[in-house]
Amino acid sequence: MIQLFHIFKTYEGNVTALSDITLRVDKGEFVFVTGPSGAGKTTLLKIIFGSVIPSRGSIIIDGRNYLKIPPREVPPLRRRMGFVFQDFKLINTKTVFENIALSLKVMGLGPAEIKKRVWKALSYVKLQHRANFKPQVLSGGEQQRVAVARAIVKEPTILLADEPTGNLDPDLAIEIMEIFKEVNSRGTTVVVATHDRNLIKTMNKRTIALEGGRLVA
Amino acid sequence: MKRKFSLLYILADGFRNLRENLSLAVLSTITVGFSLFILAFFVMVFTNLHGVIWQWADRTHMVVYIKDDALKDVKSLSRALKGMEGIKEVRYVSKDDAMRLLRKELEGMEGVLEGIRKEVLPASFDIRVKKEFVSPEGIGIIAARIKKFPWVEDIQYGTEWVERFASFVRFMEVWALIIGAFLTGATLFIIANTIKLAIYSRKEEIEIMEYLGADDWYIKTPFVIEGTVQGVCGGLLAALLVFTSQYILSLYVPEHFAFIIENPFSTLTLTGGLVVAGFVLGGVGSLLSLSRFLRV
Repeated sequence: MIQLFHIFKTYEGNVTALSDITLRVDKGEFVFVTGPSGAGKTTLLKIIFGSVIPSRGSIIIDGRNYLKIPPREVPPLRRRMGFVFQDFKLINTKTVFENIALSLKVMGLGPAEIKKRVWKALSYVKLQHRANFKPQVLSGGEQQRVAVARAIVKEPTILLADEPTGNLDPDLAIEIMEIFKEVNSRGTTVVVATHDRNLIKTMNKRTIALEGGRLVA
Repeated sequence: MKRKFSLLYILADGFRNLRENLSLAVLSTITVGFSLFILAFFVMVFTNLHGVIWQWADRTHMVVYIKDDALKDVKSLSRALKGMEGIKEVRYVSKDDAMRLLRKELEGMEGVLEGIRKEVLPASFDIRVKKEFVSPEGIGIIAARIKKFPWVEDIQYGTEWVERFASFVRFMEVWALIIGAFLTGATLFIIANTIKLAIYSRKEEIEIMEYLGADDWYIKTPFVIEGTVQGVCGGLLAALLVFTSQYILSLYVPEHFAFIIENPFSTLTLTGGLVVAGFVLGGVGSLLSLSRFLRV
């Protein structure tokens, strides 16, 4: 379960990204975070992920105060989370297969298990034929699917996705959402930030709306 | 089980990274190699010069003139001197020896010595002092102790030479320290920056690894492996450069200056020292540079 209490975030230069956010996402829930550009969607996701520290407020994840966790305990927590970054964050010197495998390698899984899981994830995002390609030769949509595969391959307890369909055509976007639904059906809490209203309508899930860093719904 | 695989991945990553970033790795290795080479060459030349200078210290000697009535028991006087702290060598110069020496010195002008009997010349002890006493203070201490013997007529020692020598050694050591510190500082600076640059070019990769939940040691170790491998190769390159430049210089340096470029250590010690220095610099340098990029 994810709980946020009175979260404020102000970036350098007094730019307010989030203002007094209190919300709760239950274990196994599928939630959309929506709002126009600059509403604070990415900051909210990054705060849950722990890569951005809020200026004020507290976060409780699975009963633990996230802001009081010693640094050495952060990596194990991240290993249980999957994050699909808006800018993909793929390593250009590694192949698609290696990029996805990396998140399993840091967990210490054996090579056979890694191979099995990576191929499964690649088949979910329909990219088996790109396994040995470097990310920079792929299209934006393909890179986005690699990022999705990397996030789901570790079967995370929490999956955070920042505009995961931004570069995809509507059919592929629906397919990615179906993958997220399947991951969610296995118990993973899924939080997706998107400004695609049609997608949200199709999915019929709870929606948290942000505007100017404030909760509006 | 988990650890076993992690270790395997880390080792593989370390060597793989070296292969993937080969041009940068080669550049770092060359930088480490040349930096260590300059430092090693300086240490070598300084050690050689220092050694030669201390050979000059052997020229520091004192002459202790003996009263005639004490000459019956020269052996026990000599023993007493030899037992003193700071004295390296005692040589007895009899009246006959003194006469012979004088004749030799006045060769061609023997007429001056006509009518002079050897009895007029005093017998003496020629004393050489140990290295650590070659200073105006050290010589003074020994002289004061010798003067206490009742059989001592007079003592002569070249204060001026000792003073000049001591101040020259001081001058050289101070400059060696300054240049050495500067070179060491420059070497560390260059190596640290080369490593920093190499790591900086992979800042994003480090960031992604952190986001994927890699532990600090998992991220750091491949870089440290890379750093140490580059350091060791740099050390070997430095040794190769030392030996090559020694050979080339030996063809041009006049024979009486050849000692300056001789290796004062054994080949193995010099190579080993440079390899160890490269290993430590590469490893520690990577570790220090990394700590700046972690926790992004």
